[in-house]
Amino acid sequence: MDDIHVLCSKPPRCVLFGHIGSRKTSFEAEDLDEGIIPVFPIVRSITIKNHSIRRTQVPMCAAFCLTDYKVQGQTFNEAILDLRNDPTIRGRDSHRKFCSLYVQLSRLTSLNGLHLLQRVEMSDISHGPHERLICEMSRLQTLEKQTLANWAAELS
Amino acid sequence: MRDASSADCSYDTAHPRHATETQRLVKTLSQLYTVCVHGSLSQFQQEEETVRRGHSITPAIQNDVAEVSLAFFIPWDKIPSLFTLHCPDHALRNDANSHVWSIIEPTLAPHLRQYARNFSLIHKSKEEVSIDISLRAMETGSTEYREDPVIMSDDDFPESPVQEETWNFSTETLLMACHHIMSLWHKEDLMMAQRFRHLDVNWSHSAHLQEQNLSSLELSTFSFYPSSGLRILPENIIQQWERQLKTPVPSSSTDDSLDVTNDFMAPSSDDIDDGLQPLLQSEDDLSTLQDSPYLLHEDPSEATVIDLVSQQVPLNTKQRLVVEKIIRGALSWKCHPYDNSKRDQMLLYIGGEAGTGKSQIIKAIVAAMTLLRRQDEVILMAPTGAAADNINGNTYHTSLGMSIGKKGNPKAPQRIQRLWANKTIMVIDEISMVDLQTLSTINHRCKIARALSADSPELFGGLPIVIVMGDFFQFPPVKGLPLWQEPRQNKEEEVAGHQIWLRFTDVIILDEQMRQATDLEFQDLLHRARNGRLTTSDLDLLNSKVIPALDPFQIDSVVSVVKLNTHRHRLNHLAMTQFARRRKQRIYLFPARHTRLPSVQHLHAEDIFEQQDEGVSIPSQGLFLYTPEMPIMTLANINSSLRLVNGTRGTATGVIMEPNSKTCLCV
Repeated sequence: MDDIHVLCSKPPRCVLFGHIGSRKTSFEAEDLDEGIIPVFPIVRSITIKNHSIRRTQVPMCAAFCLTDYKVQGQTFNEAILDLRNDPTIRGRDSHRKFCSLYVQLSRLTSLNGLHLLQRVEMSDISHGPHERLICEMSRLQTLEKQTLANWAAELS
Repeated sequence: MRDASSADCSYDTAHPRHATETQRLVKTLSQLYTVCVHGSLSQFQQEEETVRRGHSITPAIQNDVAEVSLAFFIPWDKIPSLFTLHCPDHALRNDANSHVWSIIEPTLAPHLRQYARNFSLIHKSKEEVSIDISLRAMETGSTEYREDPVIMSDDDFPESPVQEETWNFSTETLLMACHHIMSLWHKEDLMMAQRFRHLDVNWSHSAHLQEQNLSSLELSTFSFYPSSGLRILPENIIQQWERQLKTPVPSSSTDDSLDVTNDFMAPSSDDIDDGLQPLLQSEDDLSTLQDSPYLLHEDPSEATVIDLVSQQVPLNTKQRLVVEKIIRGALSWKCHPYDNSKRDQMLLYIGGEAGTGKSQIIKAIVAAMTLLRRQDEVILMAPTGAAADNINGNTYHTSLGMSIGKKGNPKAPQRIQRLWANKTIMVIDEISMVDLQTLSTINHRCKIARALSADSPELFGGLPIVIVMGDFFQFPPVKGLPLWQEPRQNKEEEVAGHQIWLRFTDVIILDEQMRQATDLEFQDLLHRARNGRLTTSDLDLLNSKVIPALDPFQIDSVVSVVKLNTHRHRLNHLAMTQFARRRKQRIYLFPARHTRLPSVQHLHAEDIFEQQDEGVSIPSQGLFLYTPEMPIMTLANINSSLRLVNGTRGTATGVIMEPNSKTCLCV
C-alpha cells in the first residue's frame, strides 16, 4: 500500500524557492528566510485533447531530470546522460541527434563526472553535423583569418 | 446591478441585453480598457501576414472588412433591412457586404467615416496592446491597470465574451482521478525501470482505493512531519510578499527602469525596457568595479582599460584581442561622434566550441564599459530566458518588444527610442538558436527602436557594434532555419535574414578550451564527437560509464539528462520517490485549478490532471508534486531581476497552502 503520496485539495498559495549555492538575490520579506523567493501560481491557456482550458498552477516542476534542450548553456561537474536514440523520438533529424549528443557531453567538466543512463550502440553516437554547417564553418574560418589580419594591420 | 449610477445608459428596449446589462460611461482614465479583438480579422489573415509591407486588397478581403465595419458602425437592428433594400440578391453574391457598405459608408458622420477608414489597420497584437496599456498606466501614474486585456477568440466574436467558469471537482472525483493517475504512473515507472535495469521502483500502488482514504483528513489534525515545509500563513503577509515581488529590485541604474514584474516572455510582455542595462552580478567580484577607485576619467587607451579589466576577468590571448578591439571601437565612437569616416559599424561573430570562454568576453566588455562609466551603452540579449540569465541580459523579445512571427508595433514609444539611442554595443548570445527570419526581425525592430524607417539601409538601426556569439554545433532553433542554412527563396524574411548574416564579416573563433581544461582525454573525445568521428574505443569508454545495475545508484543526487519529456517525467518521479524515502518524507500532490468555457464538457478529470508540463505551451503541471528540499525548476520567466526565468534550478524549501485547503488525503 502506497503511503508516500498525499493529495491536497487545492493548488499551493505559493511555493518557496531558494537559489542554488552562491546565486543570491536580494529578496527579503517578513517571515521568509533571506534569499527565499515565493513563487505564485500563474494562469495559462492550455490545450488538452483539442479543448482549450485555463490552468492556474505554480510554473514549476522537480529538477532531478532535465531534457537535453534545457541543459544547453549549463555546466555540470557530474550528470547522468542519455545518449541513446529512442525510436519513439520523432521529428529529430540527424543533425539534431548530433546536437543532443554534443550538447550533452560538452556540459560536463570531466570524464569522471560522466555517467550514462543506458548502453549506447555505435549508431547512437555516429551522428555528425550537417554538411551545410561544415561548409559554413570553413567560410567562417576564412573570414577569421582576414579579420585577424585586418586587426593586426589596424594596430601597426 | 452593481455600482449602477445615473450616468449609465440603458440598452435600447428592443435589444436582447436590455434589462440585464447596462452601458457604462468611462469617468476616469483608469476605467478605460484597451479593446483587443484577438484572432483573425479575416479568413485570409495568415496569408496576408506573409506579405511584406502589408497586404494586397482583394475583393474577398474587402468584403470581410466591410462585414466587420457594418457590424461596428450600423445599429444591429437596421442591418437586415439595409441588405434587403440595397442588395436583394445578397444571398447569392459574395461581395454583398462590400456593396452594402459602399452605399452606407458615405451616409455616416465624418468622424465615423474616419474611424472606419482606419479599421483594417486595427489588428494590433496582444503585446502591442499590453505596451499601450503600460504606457497609459505610466501617464496616469496608476499601477492598478488590468494587465490582461479581454480576449475574444474567433468563436466568441462578435458576441460578448463568454464567462469562463471554475471547474469544481468534488473531493471524490479528484481523489478517484488521482488514484487513476497514480496507478498509471506506477505502471509507467515500472516500465521505465525495466528499460533501465538499475533503476528501482521503490513504491507500490494499491489497485483499489482503501476505504480509509475516502475519509478526508483535516489539515489541522493531519500530522505533518515537522520538516514538511507545509505552512499556512495569514493572508496579509502573503499579499505583502506579492506586493514586494512587484517592486523592482534596486539596481545600479534605476533612472530608466520601470516597475516591471510580469512574465517577460509571455505574449503580454509590456516591460520592454526591463534591464536594458546590464547589471554586474553580486556573485562576481566585478561588483566592486562600480565603486572602483580605478574608474577612468580621462581619455584612456583601450590597453589601459583592458589591463584593469583582466585583473578581474582573466582573459587568454584571443579573448583579450577581441575585447580590446571592441573597446577600441567603443572609444573611437565616443571620441569622434560627428566624424563619419571613423564610424564604421562593426558586425562581429564570435564562435568557438562549448567551454571556450565566450561568456567571459561578455563579462569583460561589461566590466570595461563600467570602468568607462558607459555600462548603460551595452545591451545584452539572448533567445531564451535561461540563456539571457546566463549573461544577465534579457530575451530579445523583451528588449525589442517583439514576438516571433509578428511585425510588432511600427513605432516605438519615445521612452524606448531614448533608451536605444545611446546604445553602442549590442550582444546577442546563443545565436545558434536564432533563425534567419528572427535575425531579420531583430534588425527591423532595432531600426524602429532607434527611430529609423524600415527602409533604412543601416543594419540594426546603425548600432555601432553588434556582436553575435554562439556555437552552431549546439541546438538549432526549435522553429525556422538556423543562420547557416540556405534560405528558402519564397520566404522573403529568410532571404533578408541570410543577407544580414553575410554582413557579419568580422569573425573570431575561440579555440582554447577553458571548461575541460584539465581533462585532456575528455577534450579529445569531445573533439571527435563534435566532428561526428567517435570511435569504437570511445563507445567502449562511454559504455563503461553506464550506471551500475546492482548498486542502487542515487539518481536523486545527480542530475540526469534525457531526450524526451515523457522520460523526464518518469525519471523525476522515480528520483523523487527515492529522495523522499531516503529522507523519510512524503510527496504532496497539488492539483491545478482549471477554468473552462461552458462549451467544454467532454474532458475527464484524469485527462486534465494527468497533463504535466510540456515545453512552453504548457508551463505547469496538472499535479504539482512536492517533497521538501527537492531540486526544483521554474518553467516560465517569472521575474528576471530575481533571476527566476524559464529553466532556473533551485530548491523547494516549502509550500504555503491556500488557507481553505483543508483536506489532505492519501492516495
